[in-house]
Amino acid sequence: MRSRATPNRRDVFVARDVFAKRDVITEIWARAEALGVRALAVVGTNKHAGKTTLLGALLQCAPRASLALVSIGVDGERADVILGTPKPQIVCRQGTWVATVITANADSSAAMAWHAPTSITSPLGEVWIGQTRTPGSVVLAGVRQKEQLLALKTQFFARGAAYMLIDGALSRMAAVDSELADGVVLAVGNVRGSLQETVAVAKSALLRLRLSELEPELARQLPELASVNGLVALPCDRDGETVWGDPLFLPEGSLLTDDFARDGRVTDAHSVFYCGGAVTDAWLARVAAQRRPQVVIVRSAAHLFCSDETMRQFARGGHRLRVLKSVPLLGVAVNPMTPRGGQRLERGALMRALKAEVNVPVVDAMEVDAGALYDG
Amino acid sequence: MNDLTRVKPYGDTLHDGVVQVSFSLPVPFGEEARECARQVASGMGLLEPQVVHMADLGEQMSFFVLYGKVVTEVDYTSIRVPKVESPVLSFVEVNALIREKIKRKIVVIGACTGTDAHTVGIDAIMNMKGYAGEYGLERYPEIDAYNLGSQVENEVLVRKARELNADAILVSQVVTQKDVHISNLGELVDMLEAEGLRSKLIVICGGPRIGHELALELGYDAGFGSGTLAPEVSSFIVHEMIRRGLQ
Repeated sequence: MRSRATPNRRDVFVARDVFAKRDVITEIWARAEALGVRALAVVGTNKHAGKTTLLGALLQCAPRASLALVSIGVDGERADVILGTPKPQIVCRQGTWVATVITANADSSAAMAWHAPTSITSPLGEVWIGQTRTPGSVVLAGVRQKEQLLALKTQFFARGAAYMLIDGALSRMAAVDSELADGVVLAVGNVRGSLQETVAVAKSALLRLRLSELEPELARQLPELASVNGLVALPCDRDGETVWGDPLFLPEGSLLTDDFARDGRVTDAHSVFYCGGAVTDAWLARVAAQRRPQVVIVRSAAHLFCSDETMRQFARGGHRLRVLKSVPLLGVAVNPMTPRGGQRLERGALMRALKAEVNVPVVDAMEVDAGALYDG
Repeated sequence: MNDLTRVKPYGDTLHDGVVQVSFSLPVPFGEEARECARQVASGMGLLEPQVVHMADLGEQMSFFVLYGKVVTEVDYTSIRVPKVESPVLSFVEVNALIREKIKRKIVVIGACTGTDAHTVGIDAIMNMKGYAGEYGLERYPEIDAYNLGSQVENEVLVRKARELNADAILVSQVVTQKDVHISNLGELVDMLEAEGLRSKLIVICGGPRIGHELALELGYDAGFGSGTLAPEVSSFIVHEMIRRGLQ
């Protein structure tokens, strides 16, 4: 038996590697603290992006403060619902707040104190707020809507949680709504064994996540938009810098039903547009065809459903696409593995390609061994 | 005695683990093809793989039927699968419940979304004539049903939901490639969230590759697999509307 006091070179390397990854995850938390982030979304570019593994690493390296955990889908289950392959468990510290369905946690290893029902109903049963009495695994299920997440956010913080982690589902981006989250970590999964395709999908997600916030000088001239769910059009000078007239409010309006056009009051003088709902390709492409520079403000990256090409075409036309409030990107995790025996990506090349795109920590989620990091 | 904590496939006798599989291989018909099939089956984890039938498909393709033994045992008693638990009412009962509890017609729109052009599933639920002796939703006097057909963009579906003030959306995904149905279904829910419609709607997806568990993970209220009939879907919609106070 090898002595623990004299590890061989490989053990030393592995230990250093694990702690190096731990440092990266710790740096993501440090960035969150520095930016005052309290609600952190974990989203993925695709299926099998390594979100659950990343979530586990974030939980284990979190500051010694009260954490709350919720998923907008189902997470922590033993087997992947699509692939049937085993999934990593979500292992929490003692004292972690969770919102989930009690019956889904029948096989969880963490002992739970169930504090209160939430009146969020789901086909799996009612969602309860619970707190882990011992370290161990949990299953998150039952929460499906943004409204429910907003209500839980209020409840978690009222109960003393310092941070809330929002686990996204599959490739859904709803969790990066600025009403919900004030920081995001992106998990990038292997796309069909192609480095080129994987990086392209990651860049597409980053294009949305890193949209600039509205310039303060223009923001100061605008009415309070955060509470507007519909549409607003504003007359503006040719540079799109100075608003000179009254805003046109369509409080129930939507771009999907083409309400700016149907209303008939939007003129050529209007060149700043705010949309509280979904912004899609068809409308943005139409605005992009305008000669005069236009400013389009979307509520958040979660409200943008445009192709990369339309967004680039819009920018090429001298127009500005802005978010009302951005959700800062705090880190990127990659998963070079594929679950179906497909081609594993070369880790170094993937890491280098993504590090070239972002100025935040990049980590290989699969090499962060949550078990090794776990210290109860 | 059948031990439900150690379930294996039944071939000739209880617990023998024997299964039958069939597949085609892109190899010329012959003894090498037979051995190739045996090795594929072995790679699948089957013990004692035997080719019991093989046929030349032409064009350098061969077809095989094999028997083999599975070693895996499953504890049936520990399995918990999320299912749609809503009681299934008849055509008459659903309409009566809508009249009694919701007191207005409900609006349901359905579509095959994305690139999928296979409307067999959504037609079975929506079309007036229905399927397997059950009327489709278009026949329900208390339901205004709109079947938008195939290859409907999410944007178009959400627009229609706004225009018609829909109570429920049914999305069918029958034939898809490279799991595009997953991103497509996810985008629809995200778009409904962005438009502020998600909490006002019952959102259901269905298709051969969709189960209730996947539907819940994608943010849907329910998922129905192949063979689902209109009464199951309409019963769920009405019960869920009443439960969520969406009258």
